[in-house]
Amino acid sequence: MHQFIGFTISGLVTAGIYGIVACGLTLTYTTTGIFNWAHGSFVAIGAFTYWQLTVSWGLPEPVAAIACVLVVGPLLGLVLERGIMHRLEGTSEAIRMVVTLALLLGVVAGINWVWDPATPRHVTELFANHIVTISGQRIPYNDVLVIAVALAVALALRLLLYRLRAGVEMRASVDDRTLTTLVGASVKSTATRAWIVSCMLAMLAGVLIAPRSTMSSSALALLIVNAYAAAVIGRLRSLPLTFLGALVLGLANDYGQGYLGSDPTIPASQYLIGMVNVLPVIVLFIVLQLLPQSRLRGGRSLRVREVSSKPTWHGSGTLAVVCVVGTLALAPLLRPGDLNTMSKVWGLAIIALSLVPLVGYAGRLAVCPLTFGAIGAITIAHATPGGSIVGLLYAAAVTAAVGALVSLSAIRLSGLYLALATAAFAVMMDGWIFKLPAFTIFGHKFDLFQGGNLSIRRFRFPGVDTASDHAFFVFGAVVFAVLVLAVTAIRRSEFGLRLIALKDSQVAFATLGLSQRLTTVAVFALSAAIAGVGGAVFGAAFQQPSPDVFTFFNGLGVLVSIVILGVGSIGASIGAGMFLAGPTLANLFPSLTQLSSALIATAGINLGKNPNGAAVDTRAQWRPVLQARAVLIVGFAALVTAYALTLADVVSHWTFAGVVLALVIAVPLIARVITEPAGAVVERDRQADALSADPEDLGWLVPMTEDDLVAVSKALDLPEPTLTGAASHGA
Amino acid sequence: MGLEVKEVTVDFGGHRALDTVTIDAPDGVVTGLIGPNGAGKTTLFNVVTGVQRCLRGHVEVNGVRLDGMALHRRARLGLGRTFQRLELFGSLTVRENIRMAAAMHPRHERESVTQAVIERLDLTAVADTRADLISTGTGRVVELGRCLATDAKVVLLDEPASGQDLHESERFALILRELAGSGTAVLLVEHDMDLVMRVCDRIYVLDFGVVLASGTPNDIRANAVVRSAYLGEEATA
Repeated sequence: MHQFIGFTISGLVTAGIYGIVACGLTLTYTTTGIFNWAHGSFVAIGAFTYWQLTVSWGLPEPVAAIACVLVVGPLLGLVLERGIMHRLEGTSEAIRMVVTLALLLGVVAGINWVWDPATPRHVTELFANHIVTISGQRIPYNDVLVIAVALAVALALRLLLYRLRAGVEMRASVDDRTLTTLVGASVKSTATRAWIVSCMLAMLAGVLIAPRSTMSSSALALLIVNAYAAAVIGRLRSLPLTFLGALVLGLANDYGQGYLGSDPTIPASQYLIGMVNVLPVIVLFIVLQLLPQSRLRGGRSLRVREVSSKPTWHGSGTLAVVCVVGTLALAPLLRPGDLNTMSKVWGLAIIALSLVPLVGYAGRLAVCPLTFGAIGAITIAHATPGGSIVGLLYAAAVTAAVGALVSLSAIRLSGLYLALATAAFAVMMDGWIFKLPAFTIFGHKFDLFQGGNLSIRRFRFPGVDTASDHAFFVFGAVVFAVLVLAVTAIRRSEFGLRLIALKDSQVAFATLGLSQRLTTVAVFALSAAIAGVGGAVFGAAFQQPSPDVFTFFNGLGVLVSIVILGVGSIGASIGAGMFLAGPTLANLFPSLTQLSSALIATAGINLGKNPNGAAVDTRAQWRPVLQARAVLIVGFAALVTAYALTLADVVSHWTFAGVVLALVIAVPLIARVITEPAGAVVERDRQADALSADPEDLGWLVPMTEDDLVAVSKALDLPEPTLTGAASHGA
Repeated sequence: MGLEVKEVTVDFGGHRALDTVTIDAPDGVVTGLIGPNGAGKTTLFNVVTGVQRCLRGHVEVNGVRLDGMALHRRARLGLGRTFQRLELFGSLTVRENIRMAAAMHPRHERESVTQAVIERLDLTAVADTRADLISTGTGRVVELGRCLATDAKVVLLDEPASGQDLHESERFALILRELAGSGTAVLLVEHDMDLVMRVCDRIYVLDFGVVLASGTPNDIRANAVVRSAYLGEEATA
């Protein structure tokens, strides 16, 4: 009985913290429509700031707690809203999610940068050594305080949202932002208030959880998974139901951990203890099945902002050949260490490529690409230990089946829930399945990660063995090239058209007799299959990969990178692979281990501005090169010469890298100057300068002057307008 | 047979959007559905196509009850629709939009079906233009083209003339008459009274979710209650 009361109190404390986190999440989602994946990382900021103030700087705990909640929280909320969130207006749900995922990566990298994760940290709880005794059970003051604070937060939020004007405006802005402004409320200040309150709640949760946690930034950031399970129980709307969800999850978590942890005689406890850690995820899966079906979404606007151009056979063929030939040429120039690192590029590029049909074409966000990769790696390790190339087919088949099952779990629901289901899947696999001890089913012994690290034999087939880094680097490029052609074929097929149509308008898609569920399951399975092959190649590059290679966070890096580079473009996947696995950053900045995450996060946060990513701009810059053949030939000759000189050790590798960089910058610039008629750029700029405002604002936000009318008519080759002295005014 | 809506009732919270509405849109006939904004016309379309569930009543297409049937299954039964707010696949060309709709045909026929629709609706000039770059009026023709490509036996048109100029609207009227002439049941929601009176064989008037009147265009013109409620004239006028 004593044990039960102890676990119950502990569960209530956990529930209180989950509830506070989940309410912050629900608050910003309901008021701004942005699901903040980074919310858990703000909790981590709270915990680390509290540690800094109390342990490192020696401030009294109450002062530090108040400073975190009332100073850091509002500041963070303000910066967040003004700097990032308000720019997401009008972007798609997928882009909004990717921006907050990038923020999650960035905050975790930032925390690890400031507070070295190798240093152990401990925070003492508030009112340490003070206890209250209930039914003979000694309960720390701190626990009572957490439960009381959680209740106070619940009541205060209820009061704010239903009794105070500011809260009512917050709720109103969810229903109709335009109408809210018509009754005199500012949508902008409403959103700012919501972000401030949400960040204050995150700081509060951080302060409360710090003494109970191991002070690991990623573990704290993943608290979001538990919190969003509670938030989903509240259907991302109801705060009372969210608290109820938190209560159920908190108690289940602490009973599970308490009883299973304290009694090893419970059957299969070694398998179940891992499950307890991911219990909220399992609850989330169950709740997703119980939610009512979402209404089908129509197109958001007539003009499509996110465009995925149809790849040509010529373009994709060239890309495939350049990958293989480029790899063959590059391999002899690389140092052994760099070659070993580069051998991982193609596996990651293939995993990034798997997101092109799913996210780029079909507009469905899955945040578990590396989890599918891990399943691919596990499959080849177990199915083809001798390194048979057939293992890649097994990996594709197994991951396709798993991908289809994951998509089925949330297929009836909107894109956000599908993304949540994939995140839950990734966390469940990371936290439980991949770490399971060996088990036996129907006489077969399974040891998924083979006791810690997979053992993958690199591929061999008649006449070829890819055991060396050199051979494997080239082999990866060949597999990537084949898959580039496969994805091109898919995009150009009727199935490819269906994916684009599904992204543009689900409701029109269905009313043409096309099944969106079947198409979604098919594209999930396809994407998972490609990721499975990528994971097999990636795993084989390591030869003995551990589960840590395939974590949820590493997967986020792949997702955010490809979206930044242009998830609708096949070629962007090379960039993602090169950036994430290439040795350049590590060579240039060996001490800055968080640099790549920080760079990805910074670029990802800016996605609201250009949702098509960098690939579209890059393609536009390089288009003139195809017309200026002479520039292309001279540039290629310069590259070959530099390559030959490097190979002959006449110039250094760094010189070669410098020449490549210079060519990449200079060739499109020179081609543009040659292909554009003399003065065309100047003339275009001059015409734009002749207008009194930006062309898109004229006649709408800014009155159109007579001079503007003349300039616009000239630019559009329209007849000279007849001026009556009155300028045309817009709405 | 065509489309039969039988005693359909829809509630949104405490608001009754449709109240025991019964409408019949037979084959080979253009049936009009008119009413002021908020009368429940689009809700009725949504119920028929399966986007919205109804509290009571049911819908039949060619004698088959559609209860609980998914949207795409209704479409496969021969139910096609256009949207008040255009729902084109903006990233695809006009040809690809229509090609998508031809997916119900055997693979070898899809190209010819697409081409036939493009020619029939005079869309050749814009066939290879991306759909988000064409005018709203042309977009409405493309939506109709998608219905034709699915071989829809019952076509629901939600304000197809809005955004069309006079010439486009004239052409649209001709196409609708042709469509009905080929045996298709057409249910038309439209605010352009001139178009409705010209092309419809029968008209239903919906107001506050209730069928106020039904009859031929002449009946409706002469109906004092309709003129009062919808056309904004005094009942005695």
